[in-house]
Amino acid sequence: MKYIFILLFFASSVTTKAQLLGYQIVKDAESFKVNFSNASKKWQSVESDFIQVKQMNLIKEKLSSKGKFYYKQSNKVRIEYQSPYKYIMVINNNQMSVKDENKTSNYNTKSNKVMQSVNNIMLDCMKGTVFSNKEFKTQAFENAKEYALVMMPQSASMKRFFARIEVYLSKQSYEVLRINMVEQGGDYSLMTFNNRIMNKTLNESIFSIN
Amino acid sequence: MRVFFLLISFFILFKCAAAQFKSTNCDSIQNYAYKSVKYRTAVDVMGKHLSGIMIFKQMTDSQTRIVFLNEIGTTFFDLSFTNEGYKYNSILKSLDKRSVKALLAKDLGMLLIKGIYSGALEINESKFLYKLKKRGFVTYQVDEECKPIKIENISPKKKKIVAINLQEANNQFDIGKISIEHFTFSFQITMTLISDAEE
Repeated sequence: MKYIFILLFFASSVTTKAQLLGYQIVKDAESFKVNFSNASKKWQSVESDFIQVKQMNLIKEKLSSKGKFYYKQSNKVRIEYQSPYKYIMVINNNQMSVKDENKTSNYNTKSNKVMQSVNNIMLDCMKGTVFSNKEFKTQAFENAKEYALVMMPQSASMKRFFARIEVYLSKQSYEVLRINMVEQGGDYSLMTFNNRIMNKTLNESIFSIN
Repeated sequence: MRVFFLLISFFILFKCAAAQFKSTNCDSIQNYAYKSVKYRTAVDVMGKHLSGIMIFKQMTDSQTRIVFLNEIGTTFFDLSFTNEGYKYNSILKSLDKRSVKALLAKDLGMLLIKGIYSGALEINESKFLYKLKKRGFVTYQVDEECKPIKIENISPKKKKIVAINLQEANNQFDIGKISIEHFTFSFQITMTLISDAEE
């Protein structure tokens, strides 16, 4: 009887791990990884609008913001919040600059764990290297229209910030449609990318803050 | 003669006390409701700069909750106030220090007028005086509508420790701008209201 309970416990954990509502696990994960990586290699740059919704369940509040997202191969990202507040975050190789309404600050990405992690996820999504991010264990799911990558944090420090991160890709183009950062406790930040323009010539000045 | 001096002394003391505790039109402070407001917030401490969004939310059970998160959505801290006290529901590991938590709670408790006081002491002209549970006092200067406009934390030796300036928003229900300045070390918080229209 004891063994039945143990077996049931393990069976239920496996089922929980492998579920994402409305999605099924990708059977040929290796082909998916290769296709995702190949598609991403074609993107020299990405320009997109984004809407971010932070949902706070306990206080029943949500905070919406919107802005522009830019990526340029191989390690350049600009996330520019335009409303309801102005905030720019630029990563250019290992250097990160942040500008809010009052001040510009420069960091080495290694000194700010969360920022570094979010930026790495953004870069991994653009470069198709999500599966090689050692801080997360990633599993791929699919439905008729989308792939969903569920990234489970592995390190204790990452577990403090995130319960999981979900990355949703277009099944047709492998472009990133949404990134959902779910915190421990269920609050989440969902970034939805709209009006995506691939391979547009982006001026270098976008990736620096004066 | 000794009795005469005593009588004179009591008279002077009584007059002084009466002048000092002269009543105003305000029986109590009409604090801002903080029902659900969001502030663009910048924190400058000892040369370091931090920014994010501070959310004040009045919960249904008369509890007020304050959540401070960065622009990406990561929570710095989540703090609950009741009339009796305060409790951190969560706080970032780098901020999870007793002194930092007490300091933040005091500054925010001064704004909410709850959770940090052992009692109200006196009314003096247009100022209200509260005694902190820990050392020191807090004065509230109010306007003609009895709303706070300036809050000061003073030590038992009457040294100014913190000053909070409040500026009413155009809607007259919320505070448009809050600036918290510490005088014993370099620490400043500025908050600007995010209106619903901006969201």
